[in-house]
Amino acid sequence: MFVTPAIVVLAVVNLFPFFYAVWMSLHRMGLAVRAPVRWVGFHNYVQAATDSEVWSSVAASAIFVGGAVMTETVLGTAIALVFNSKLRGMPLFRQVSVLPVMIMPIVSALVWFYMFNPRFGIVNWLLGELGVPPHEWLTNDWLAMPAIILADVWQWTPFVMLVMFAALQTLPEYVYEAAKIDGLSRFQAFKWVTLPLLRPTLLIIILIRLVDSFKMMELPFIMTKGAGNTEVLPYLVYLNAFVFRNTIGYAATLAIFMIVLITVIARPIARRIGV
Amino acid sequence: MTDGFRGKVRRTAALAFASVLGWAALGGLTSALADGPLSGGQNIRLLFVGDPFAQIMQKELPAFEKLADGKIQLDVVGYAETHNKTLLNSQQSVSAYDVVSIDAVWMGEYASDGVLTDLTSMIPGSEVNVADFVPSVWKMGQSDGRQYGIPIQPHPEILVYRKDLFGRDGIAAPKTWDDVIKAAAHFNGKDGMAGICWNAARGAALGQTVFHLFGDAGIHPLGTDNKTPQVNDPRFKDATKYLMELMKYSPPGILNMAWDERVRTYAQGGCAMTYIWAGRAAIFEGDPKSPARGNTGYVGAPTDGDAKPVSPIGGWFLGIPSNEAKDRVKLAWNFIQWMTSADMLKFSAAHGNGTMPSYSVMRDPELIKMYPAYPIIDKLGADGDLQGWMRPPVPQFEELSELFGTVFHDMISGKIAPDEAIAKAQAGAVKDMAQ
Repeated sequence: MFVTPAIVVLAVVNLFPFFYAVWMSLHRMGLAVRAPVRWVGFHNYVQAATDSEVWSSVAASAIFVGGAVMTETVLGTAIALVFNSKLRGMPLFRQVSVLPVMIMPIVSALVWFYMFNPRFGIVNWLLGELGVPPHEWLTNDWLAMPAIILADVWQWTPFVMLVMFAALQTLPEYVYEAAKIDGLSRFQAFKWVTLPLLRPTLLIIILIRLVDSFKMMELPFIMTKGAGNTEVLPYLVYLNAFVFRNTIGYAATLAIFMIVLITVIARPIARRIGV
Repeated sequence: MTDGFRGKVRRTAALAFASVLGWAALGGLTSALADGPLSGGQNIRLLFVGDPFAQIMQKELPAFEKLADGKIQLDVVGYAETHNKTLLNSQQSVSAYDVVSIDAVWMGEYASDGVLTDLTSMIPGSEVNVADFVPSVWKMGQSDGRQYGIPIQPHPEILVYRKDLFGRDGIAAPKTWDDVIKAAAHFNGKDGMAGICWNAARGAALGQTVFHLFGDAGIHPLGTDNKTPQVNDPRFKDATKYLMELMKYSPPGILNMAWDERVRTYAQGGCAMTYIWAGRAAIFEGDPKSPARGNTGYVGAPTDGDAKPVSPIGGWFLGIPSNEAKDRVKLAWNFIQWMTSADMLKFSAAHGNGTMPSYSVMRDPELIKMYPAYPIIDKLGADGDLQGWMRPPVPQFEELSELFGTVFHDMISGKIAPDEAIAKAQAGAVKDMAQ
């Protein structure tokens, strides 16, 4: 009885939008109230499955998610290990390192957009000081994706670091004492003791960042407008929802496709965690 | 007395004069418009794009509220958000906004989707002075002969150039694409500047450039019936060559350059010429530090050499959502009449809005001193050179703009050849128009 209101709210907030999106995906419709609403059945799904642009977006998303999540996980864990040491000044560094997470993603994207500006951006200026010629970062096929991955890594590595640092703090001291007695080196202790103990947390953080990165839209929206093969799936959803005419039904189809894709990729990880 | 000190004195005097002018205008207006459109302390809810006319209102909101004699609830959002919010607002049973700003190119979409109130029957006998607007501008507020918007910020896209440098090197003002390329090649790399700045960023920015090139070549982008894409018109091939040539003399980062960035680059002395929405000239004409201030020449959009000169006119209009509450329609209409009146347009111009909304603004002697482009634009209008047909207000305009801006961006990036770009753009446009 006491949980009923919570269930009702969850149902309204979570389930209703999903089922409405499914309904939209079965129609051709537009944003405006008098835009025609036409039943098309599974036509949108067939179109999405056979549209090369959709599969290019999936590939772009896969590259972005793979690159960003892997880098954030490795870097975040490494920084957490450093912060877990007893070196001087670590508490202050920890506090400062968390700042990027507090910035709104769209603001971060804007800042990086200007930093990568070929004419007056700081990135080209710094490279110029090292004798490297300027680059068109955000339109080059080879550089645009690394640029947006870098922006994402800069913002979300501190989040990974925080979670891993918290996990490291909970590891019992006695296992390391036992490892020392057994004669394990520091690297061996990390590999055979720390990593296995951190595995559940690592899986959780990978799952969270994977789902988050798949939904990311603001970086190509602000920084590249899809140039340089950065038209990820959420950006394609945006274009179909708000730029192209009468394709919001197709946008809903792509959004549902995205949910299915994320579920398929995330399910094995979630099972290992026990979710 | 040093030159620097004299300059400071002059600048201070100019600022003081402008302030006196502005406040005198406010004082005069306050007495002339004792009963604002919101008299009785009513409130009005506005959804405006973040362009000069709205920015001025944001900055001077207390003054506007005093003049309007009521409360103004102003939502200023970006270009895409204005479009999206207006469409989403149309789904409500009652509109959340009384007046919305409309880009001229959306008129067809909004009219066919029933987003806006038809103002045609309201205009006769109203305060709107139709004769004060350039005819081609007035027409852009229509769809199928019905008026849906009243002009608030129309202006043409023209070419501006550093007349001091052109004069120094004996180069005439560009009139054709060939002239532009020759001048750009001449200045590129000299005095630390590139030859020319323009909208080349992927998406709507480059899409707009492409539409305007149709105009320069005298080609109706969708045929004279606005139904049949003409990207594969043989004359358009020269436009692709022009774009590729422009790339050679453009500044670094041109593939990301759009809207005000081209003007700011020009204002900072980064390029010798730039395409510009004429009202944005205030960015350099109003900046005492800009080397372009007082040194800028203004010409209509250069042609391909064969077509009649036309400068594409675009801009913003004010309209009333079709789902506006019945008892608020009169309030919204009164507000639109007031905001688009000669006095209010001059007030906005006096406070930094350099666009060309009406003849009375463009011919005001005091405003001409602030905006040297006015007489040139006035003449273009009088000669019938300000036209909107190259920006067809069809419902598919946004999609076509995005399509052209994507395909031709791949072309100027060197990913695809011009012939392939033309074929892709034509095929995509035919598909979009068929929907």
